Amino acid sequence: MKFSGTMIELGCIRQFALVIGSLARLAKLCVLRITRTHLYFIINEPGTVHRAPGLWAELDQGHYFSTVTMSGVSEEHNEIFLEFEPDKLSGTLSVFKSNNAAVRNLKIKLAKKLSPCLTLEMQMPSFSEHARTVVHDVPVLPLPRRQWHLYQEPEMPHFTASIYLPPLKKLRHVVERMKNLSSSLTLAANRKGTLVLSVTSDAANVSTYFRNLTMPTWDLEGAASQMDEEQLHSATVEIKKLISFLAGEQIGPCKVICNIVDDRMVHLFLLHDDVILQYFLPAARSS
Amino acid sequence: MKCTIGTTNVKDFGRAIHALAKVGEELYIEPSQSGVSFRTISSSRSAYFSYNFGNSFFTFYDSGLGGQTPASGEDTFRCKVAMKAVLNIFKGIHNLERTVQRCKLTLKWEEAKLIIQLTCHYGIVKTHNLSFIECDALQAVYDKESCPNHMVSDSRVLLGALSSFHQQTLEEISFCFTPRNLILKSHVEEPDPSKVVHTVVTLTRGEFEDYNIMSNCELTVCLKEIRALLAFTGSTGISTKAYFSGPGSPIIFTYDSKPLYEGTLVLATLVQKPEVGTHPASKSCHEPRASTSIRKASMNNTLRASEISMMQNNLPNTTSGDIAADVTVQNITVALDNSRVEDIPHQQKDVVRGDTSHSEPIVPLLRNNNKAAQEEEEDSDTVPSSPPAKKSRFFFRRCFEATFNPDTLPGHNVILAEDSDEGD
Repeated sequence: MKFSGTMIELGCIRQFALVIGSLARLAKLCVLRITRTHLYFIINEPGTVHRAPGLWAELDQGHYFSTVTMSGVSEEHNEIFLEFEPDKLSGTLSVFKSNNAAVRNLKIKLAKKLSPCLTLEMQMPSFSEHARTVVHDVPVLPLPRRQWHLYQEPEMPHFTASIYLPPLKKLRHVVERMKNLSSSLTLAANRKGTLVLSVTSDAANVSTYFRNLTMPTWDLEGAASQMDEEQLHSATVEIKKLISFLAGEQIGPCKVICNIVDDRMVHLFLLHDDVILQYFLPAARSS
Repeated sequence: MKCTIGTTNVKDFGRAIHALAKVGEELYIEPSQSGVSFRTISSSRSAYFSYNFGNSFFTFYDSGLGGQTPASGEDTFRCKVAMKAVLNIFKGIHNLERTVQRCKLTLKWEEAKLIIQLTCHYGIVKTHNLSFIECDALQAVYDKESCPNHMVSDSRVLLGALSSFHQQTLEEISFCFTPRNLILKSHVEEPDPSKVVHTVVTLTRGEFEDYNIMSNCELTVCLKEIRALLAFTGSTGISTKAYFSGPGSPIIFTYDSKPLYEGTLVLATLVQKPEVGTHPASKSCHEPRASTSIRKASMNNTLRASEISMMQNNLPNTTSGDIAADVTVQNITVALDNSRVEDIPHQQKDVVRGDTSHSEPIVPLLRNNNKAAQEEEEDSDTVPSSPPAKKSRFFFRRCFEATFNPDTLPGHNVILAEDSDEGD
């Protein structure tokens, strides 16, 4: 098992640091899957069917790394699965998140020092002509092959409504205010471009309507075009999880698609040049 | 003593108090003819921090000593106050420079009060009365000149390097000096290394203003105190000088902004014997932890701990009844002349072996407390006499007082109440 990659562009390093930072907010443990071409970060929600992980993030290796060498567990299974704690990794990359970091390059390697770890080597600017080198060893746990099936790419769920979300900042403001009223929020959308967020508490029902939103076009067989355009399809999810996802909106301008499976799940699909994030929110039990 | 600090220097004074507060619990104040000295020592006795403010730092200074320099050993005006109290007064460091115009410190000996008066804008005067305790001198014994290795660096360089160490739980950091570069490593004692992120930062010699290393050495110190020092020097922009010789002997950091003030931080360093492996005796920041690890190491008979020799007339109040506390007391030596503590367990062992005439072993450093209790119970009514020994005399001073023989009490044979049951 071998992996070694070098990033030289500051923008890519920063993006990588931001992705890891948003992962750190979501869960304590995360699985990194390295294939020949991509890096995947997978967070499995405990208690859900294994086909619907909490988070699935896909990064194109060629985009981030200038040079990569990788060899998996064996010839036929040319992949590496590592379990790590994202907040440890995020701590080591925190220096890159600020805009004025002038780092020369970042090298990530899989190594075994005392125990398997991901070694990050970076060169920081210094007062002398030699750069200051900083080496961090983040402990990781390689996963055996028999557990790999738990971390496969999720299927696109059969959603009933799909819509592009309004700017995440606005959404986050609204949802954060709603957090005080209740612990679960209902997301509803219809095919006319209306999104409704609503919370119910003893004292009040509060709903926020976003109208005239655009909708993505999907090539679906058996298109449900017969369905009523006005009909709202909704699912109720836990507010805290939604907020922790929305908090990761620093990654940059991108489109977020929200797919709703009636009463089952909300699927958030974040499309960005550098990264594709899929977040599955299971419907909360109505209390 | 009376002194007044003007607006420009109040900020530095406040910062100095913040730095001192990060290290110790009590602030020792010692005025003298040439200025005042504020000192503190960490609770585990592994760090000694001292600030000397010269006359020119103050707009008005009266040491109250009346022009005589008291002979050494005589009681000069020395006192200590609770650090928290002083820190509370100087909180809000940014406001300090904007609102405070003058700061006046007065030591009133008769009333045992330290009066700190802050004159702020708009005619607001805040007066704080703090009680102090008179105490003896706190002075670490160290010798800068005898250290062969020496380094001067801009504090921001070190601060930047230390900022790469993100883990909040990191307590100790290792400085590995080689003639080419300085390597900073996170030092983790946890038996499970896979739980922690290890970080290594390499600084080449070009980053330092002066770098003079005679031999390679690796020193492990507590991170908290270094950060406190660098936070002060980094904000004031002065450079830090470090003097050190090798593991085990203290590393001395000094900085000055002469003639206004100068500061010294003396840190104890860890000595690691190869066979000690994962349980080195550690001068970590928490006293209970230090005592268990020193005790563990001593049980392995490979105790090696560095120490700061301190001259202190009043030894701390830990009683010898508590073994753990006794072991940490060894950090302060009065008459040991820098002798290494590793000699002590060997001597103890000799003493134990040598005293075959006594049925009861001596208060054990090498055995568990439980075992000792058992062995004492097994013993019969004979009261053994005090063990002879040289160096252990210091650590077990209570043992060397004349053995208490209950027969010497007057009226010991007068039975006032008989045993309620026979035997046992």
